[in-house]
Amino acid sequence: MRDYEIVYIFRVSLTSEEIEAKLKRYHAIIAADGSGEVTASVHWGKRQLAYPIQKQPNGYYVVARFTSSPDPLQELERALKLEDDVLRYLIVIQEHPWPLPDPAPTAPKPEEDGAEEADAEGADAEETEKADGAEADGEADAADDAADAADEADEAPDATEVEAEAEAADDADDATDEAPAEAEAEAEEPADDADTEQDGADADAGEPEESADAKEE
Amino acid sequence: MAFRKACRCCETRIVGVDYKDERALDRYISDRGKILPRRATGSCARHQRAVTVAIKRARYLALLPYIRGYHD
Repeated sequence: MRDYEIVYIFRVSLTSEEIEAKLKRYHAIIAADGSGEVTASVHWGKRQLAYPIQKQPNGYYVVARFTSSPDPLQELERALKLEDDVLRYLIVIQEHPWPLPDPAPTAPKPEEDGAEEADAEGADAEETEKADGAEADGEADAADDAADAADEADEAPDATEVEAEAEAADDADDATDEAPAEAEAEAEEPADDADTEQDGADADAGEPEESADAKEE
Repeated sequence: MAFRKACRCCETRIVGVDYKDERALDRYISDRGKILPRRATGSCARHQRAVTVAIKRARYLALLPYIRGYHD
């Protein structure tokens, strides 16, 4: 018995009932074994694909977790390969308790605060990964995040971090009236550092490229 | 690209890198979508391997592009 995680990408032309029906069928294959069990199923929702698959620009993502012996997987894979409405699927052994993605607002079992949290968590996704449970605590955490982001930016600022930090600071302002001034002050200082650092980095990046060109010629 | 001394994953105590978190993985790919080398990311060997696997899974699931900025 092992823990697995499966990600499906369905065609967006399917209705939610059709997707549910298909999911039920696949999960029945896992459960048919007797020992297998689906432990979680989250509708990630419609997303833009990073590149078209079967000429489709969008896909409907569903993430599910299950425990199973390896035997039913062959049958599951066979069923998925024959399925035209599954653009792509990925079954991996779940080595770590990754956080499940936030369900889409349009998902069959929507959770009200899901969408709002998605923004706050997205602000610094890496930190969210480690402290997913704590994130939900809200107010105080938002301020902490801003402070953390500021600390991180102090060390080695880059463009994405500055953005994330700015967002986090905004969130903190919105969420807390307790210490908005502090968060702002901390947020502004590293932003200056980031600019200068970035310029330096750009110059660095330019040189090796040129030398590479020269070599080719 | 700001070069780093310390492994970001180690600093934040990340054990397993989540292939579904494309925003976190975005830091480890270039503007053309290539996986950045360790000398650029500053990652330790263990986390660089984990990130690499996660990026490849994310690419397969179209969460990240194989090539960025070519067709646009």
